[in-house]
Amino acid sequence: MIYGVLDILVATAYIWLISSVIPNRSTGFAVLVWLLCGLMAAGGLGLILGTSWGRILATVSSIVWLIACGLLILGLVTSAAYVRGIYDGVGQAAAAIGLLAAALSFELVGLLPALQLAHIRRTRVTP
Amino acid sequence: MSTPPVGLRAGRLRRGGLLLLFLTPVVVYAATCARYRVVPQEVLGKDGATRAMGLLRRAVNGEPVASMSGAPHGLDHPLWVTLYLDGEPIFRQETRAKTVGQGVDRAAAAIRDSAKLRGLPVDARRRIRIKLDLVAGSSPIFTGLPLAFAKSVVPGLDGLGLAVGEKSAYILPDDLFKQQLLAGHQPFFFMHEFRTGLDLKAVVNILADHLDLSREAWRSADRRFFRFRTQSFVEDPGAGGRALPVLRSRVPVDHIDRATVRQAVTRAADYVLRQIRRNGQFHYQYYPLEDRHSRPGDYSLPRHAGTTWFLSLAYRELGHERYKVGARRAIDYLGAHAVPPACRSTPYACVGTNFYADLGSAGLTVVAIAEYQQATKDRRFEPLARRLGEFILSMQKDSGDFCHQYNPNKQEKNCEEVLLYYTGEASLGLAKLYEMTKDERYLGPLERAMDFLTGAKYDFFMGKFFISEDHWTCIAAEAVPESLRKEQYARFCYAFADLNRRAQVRPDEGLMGDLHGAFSITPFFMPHNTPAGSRTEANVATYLFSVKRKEPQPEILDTVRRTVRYLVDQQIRPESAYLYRNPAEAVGGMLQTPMRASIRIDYVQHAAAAMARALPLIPERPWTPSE
Repeated sequence: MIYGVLDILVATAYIWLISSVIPNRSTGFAVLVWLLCGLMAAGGLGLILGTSWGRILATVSSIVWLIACGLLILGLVTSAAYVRGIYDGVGQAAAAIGLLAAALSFELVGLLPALQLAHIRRTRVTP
Repeated sequence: MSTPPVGLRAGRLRRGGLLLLFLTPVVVYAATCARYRVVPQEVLGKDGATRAMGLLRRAVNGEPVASMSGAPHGLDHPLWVTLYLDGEPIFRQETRAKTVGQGVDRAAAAIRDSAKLRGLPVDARRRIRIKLDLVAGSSPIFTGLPLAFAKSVVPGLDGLGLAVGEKSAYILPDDLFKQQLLAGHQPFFFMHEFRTGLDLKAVVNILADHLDLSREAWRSADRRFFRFRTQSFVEDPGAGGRALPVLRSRVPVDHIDRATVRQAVTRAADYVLRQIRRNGQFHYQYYPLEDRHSRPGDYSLPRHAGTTWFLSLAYRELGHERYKVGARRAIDYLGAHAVPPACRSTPYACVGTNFYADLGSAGLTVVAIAEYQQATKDRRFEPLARRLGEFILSMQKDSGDFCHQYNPNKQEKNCEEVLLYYTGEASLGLAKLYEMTKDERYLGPLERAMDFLTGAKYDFFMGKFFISEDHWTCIAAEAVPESLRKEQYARFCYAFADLNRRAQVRPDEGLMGDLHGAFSITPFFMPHNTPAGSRTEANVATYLFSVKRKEPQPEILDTVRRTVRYLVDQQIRPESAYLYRNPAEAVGGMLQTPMRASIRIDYVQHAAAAMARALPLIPERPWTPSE
């Protein structure tokens, strides 16, 4: 139940973040985030309802979010390296911000799905 | 009476503990905030200030002075009357009194009785600027951590005080600014170039000197530092005796209209003209508090070219012959001294030395020449511009980007080191060159450069989330001919303008509110004036671009007007120049930040070029930004 509510709240927060606080110029990325948030919210709803398909959806959502978190960290680290490589001294600040964002990515994006996945495994209904 | 069961007691205890856990931070937050917050109160109204100023002016002139009545506001701190002559405080009266009226009367009497002032010639007394400072609120500060202590005053708004027993000493906000003590603290021992917050050693020494305590008394004393917010007025230099409010050592500007912005552009252009040396080079940096220029040697040719461009813009907008002459002299300097021998007999020309030339200098020299030719119809520099155009073309890479550095002696490009603005400056150079010559050879390279700047340059993951200082890109986007204008350029520049708007200070942003219109990402650091100018140059261009595309963007127009108000407000004007040693020299200048008193030629150039290009967008009637 608690993870279901958290999923819906966090998905809403991500949508607000991506549309108001850190907008981007890539339509593809924005669409992807919306889809991922939809998946998270659907998984959350599934957990609240407690049905078997709900648990499956939440599991899939958690795995997809963990993969997305990994890709996000990869994107940020390579971007930081690229900016540092191209702009040398001038790019240091941007690179530092990129690395800082990468360091915080797991806490902000990966922690909830990781804990949720562990919770689903722990509370698995055995036949 | 029965005792509750153990389980119930434990439950109550747990709930109580949770409540305590939740409430403790709230209470600590509220108590800390209440202790350290300054809530300023108005001590003297505008009419009262003008009455006080009139009295003080009569005292300065040696005329009979009536008593100041009708200012019964009680005073917990002293009031200060300072007389500035050519930027120097030649007289200061710190008066402790029960009411403002009583304090002003005492200060007037002290002025009248001062032999030093009586000995001044009439002309000098007339030039004196009277300043009145009153304490509007105060609070203790936390001095336990050096960084917290250093950042404990709001630059320009707060003064610093020290109480020891019955004695108190004060450093006024103006004094902190004038002695440049606001950015003197080095928080990290390994970062010498990073300084922020009060110069602690200096301010403590000043306060200790004021208190005149022996070393032993100082050591054993119970010292209580505090900050205080002032309400300040300065005498209007144009109307003796009239009081003007002062904020952060300047007289604030609430609204703008086209005439005031035109006046600001004129002042800036005249300031730039005063910086031209005999050989056509500019004085690179001016320090208005000391009335001195930087030593020759440290110089930037791209900034020289950019400033020259502004002079041509000023001539175009204002039509004064003196700007045309100034622009010609500055371009002459580039042609005669900045094109090295190794680039003189080649089909191309470069700007720099025999060992080093760069793309930015060449690009902006072309821009300056093109603007000059368009404004004056004088074609004498066109051959140089065309040869510089050849240089720019030869530096372009297949990607549309450019190599940024060149060794003329070895005829060798350096494509490894990338400099922040150069590709944008070269692109604007090509656009202006096409505008001037209509030579279609420039169109292909220009299109490739713009495609790169607004596309491939940001083709990496993080690149979709930020835009660097791309003001030249958007100025160039507006300058490209109609046949090349692409949706991609417009979208990029709209996004850049949107990013700027997000970082724009709003009037309701508390202690930063008086700096509204500037661009800042944190209240802990003063906004810099150069990005306010350069981003507004870009925003003006983007707005004009949107109009050409028949989709005018009102938000961008609003952003432009807000920053133009800020720039007019920040420009050194006669009424705000009371702290500067040579006001006539400083007027028209633009400081690095509202509180850092150095003026480099490009600080003025970016701000003034933005205002000059924004002129048609500023309403004739007074315009005040809404919240």
